[in-house]
Amino acid sequence: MSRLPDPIGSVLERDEDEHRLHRNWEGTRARMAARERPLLTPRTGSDRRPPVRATAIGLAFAAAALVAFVAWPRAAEGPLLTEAGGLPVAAESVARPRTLRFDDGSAIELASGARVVPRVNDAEHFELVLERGRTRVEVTPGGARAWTIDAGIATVRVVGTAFVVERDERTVRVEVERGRVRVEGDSVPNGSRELGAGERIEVHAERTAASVTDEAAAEDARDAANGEVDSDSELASGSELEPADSDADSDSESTSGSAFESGRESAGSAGDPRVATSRARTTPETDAAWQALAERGEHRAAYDALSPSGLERRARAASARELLLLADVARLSGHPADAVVPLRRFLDAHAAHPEAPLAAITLARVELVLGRPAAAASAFERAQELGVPSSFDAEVCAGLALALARSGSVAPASEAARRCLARHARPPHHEALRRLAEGAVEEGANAPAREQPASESPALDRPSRNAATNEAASDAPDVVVER
Amino acid sequence: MPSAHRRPRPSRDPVVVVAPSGPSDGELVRRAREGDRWAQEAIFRRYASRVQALAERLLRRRHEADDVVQETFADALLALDGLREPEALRGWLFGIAVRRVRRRQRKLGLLRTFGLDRGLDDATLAGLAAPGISPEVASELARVDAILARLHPDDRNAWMLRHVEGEKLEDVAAITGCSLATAKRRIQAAQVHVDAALARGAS
Repeated sequence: MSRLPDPIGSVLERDEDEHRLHRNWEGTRARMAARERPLLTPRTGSDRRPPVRATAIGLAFAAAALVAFVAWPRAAEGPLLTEAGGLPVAAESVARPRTLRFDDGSAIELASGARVVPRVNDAEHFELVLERGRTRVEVTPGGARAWTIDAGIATVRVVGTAFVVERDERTVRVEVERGRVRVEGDSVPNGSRELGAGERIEVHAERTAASVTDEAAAEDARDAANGEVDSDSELASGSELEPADSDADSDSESTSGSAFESGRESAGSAGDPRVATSRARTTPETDAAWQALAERGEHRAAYDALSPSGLERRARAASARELLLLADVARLSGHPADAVVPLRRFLDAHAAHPEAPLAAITLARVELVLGRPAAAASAFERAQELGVPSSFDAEVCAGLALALARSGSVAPASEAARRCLARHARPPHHEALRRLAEGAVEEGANAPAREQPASESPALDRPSRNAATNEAASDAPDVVVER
Repeated sequence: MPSAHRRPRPSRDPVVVVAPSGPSDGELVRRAREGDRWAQEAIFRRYASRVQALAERLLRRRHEADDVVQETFADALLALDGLREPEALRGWLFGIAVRRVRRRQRKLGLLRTFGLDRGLDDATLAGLAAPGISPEVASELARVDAILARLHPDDRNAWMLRHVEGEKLEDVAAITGCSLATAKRRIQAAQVHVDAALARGAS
């Protein structure tokens, strides 16, 4: 007679790991974004093939795929895995450069402060978003997957090469060490440019100017290839940029249209009167357009329909629903900085709204992404005051402790960590929280909290004041930890 | 930028308000359909660990289960308009998850046929057992797991939904997308092998 209970599930453990849950949510969002994106590209007449022809093509591909599958056992069988056998997840370097190694021999070196998020990972494609910072990518030649690095205003496509991509608010630099890559983007001349070994390109959001360097620059590139990727030396000096003349700018702007505006960060060419004019032009028609696009989940197109200043201006007189929609458009189109204004405005004007706690949590996440832990901690606290839904409580209390630690508030961070551990058996980053809580016991008495707004404290330059705090915070993989 | 919430940092012992369990499935679905991204995340958080556990047990692999979780919720959240009964969200999600699982089982089966499956089964029933169960129960779990691994995936999935997850027969049929009669037949087909394995172990 069986001793097994019915149902058997009653004697099985269910993994409630918050970190795994969070990672899967990020993966879900990434997959949703990847599926939404093709909707933004209108199909041309030539794409609409007759069904019979499409079926024949499909069968031909299927046959070819079967042959390749049988004849080429080296072909990838699934997603790209890390060297340790896990699925790659969002990763960022903390205080030190970090290298991610994959099972096909490829590697990604993240310089301090860089963050990458996998967006597509299957047998044929590996697509990463470089959210910020500098990364050196080395793709094993002959691999089964086409690699794509999305750096916002420029996208790098490659199979088998080594190159460096650096992204800041307004500029993307790509430098090829060996092999060839293709850089694409609205701000790239003619929409795309192929680069060979030793070549580099610098793409600016403000204008369509981008330049491929000459032989001297190529030599610099080879030097850089031999040096430390994580060094502080700049990959490309300002001198290599060849600013387009004003006529060319004018032409290219007129042809770039909304795509040009969409690629530009809000801090962009504020001094350019032509840009200011185009930004101020928001009409009822565009308002209706962005909302319709946003409601369909086409956030990139919605962002295009709203220039950055239009988004900010729109937030001044927006309803609660519109503010949340504006924040969604900004965040989900890859412009988290533009989500701050609508979220803060929502919290200021609609604190009693049922969505207010979640808006505060979202604001905290955005502030973390933007590297402003003090503001993130403040937003987490606001969420707690407003009433955190139970399913978010563990994330919020852990996020508060880690954000406080990163902002330099050691003793409050430790206290917050202790409170979190008292409320939750296994909160996100519980090991980091545990060390944070223990660290305060050792040092709390002589290390009073000192507030240091993120904007005034370039944390990378700040010396470590509490080793336990930093060590603990550095174990939190989804949070930027700066020392 | 407005900054009313950037008040002086409060004392380090703030009042933390944890809201009750929240809106119903129907309410969450309605809000998510209207484009409310927070409702989408709330749906994910409510059901992700259950979908993950289901996928892990059916596939016997953790990392494959993670993929199924992500695919399931991406499918579901992009197709919420197709859910006719919002209160039936749980069963609908499980149905999508099982279809995703089944697709992976086919792929894994093909890879095994060609000797190309290099993955490790790291989520067996015995491996997932809670600490503290008796050695006898652990042993039976291992035997059941071993025999289930050799069964046809359709039979195995149906049996596991019924006897591991505790789903009603009608729900097993709905989740696996077959008739009630087919679901019963599959469960019975698996049960014969499970009973035989347990009898061999007992003798």
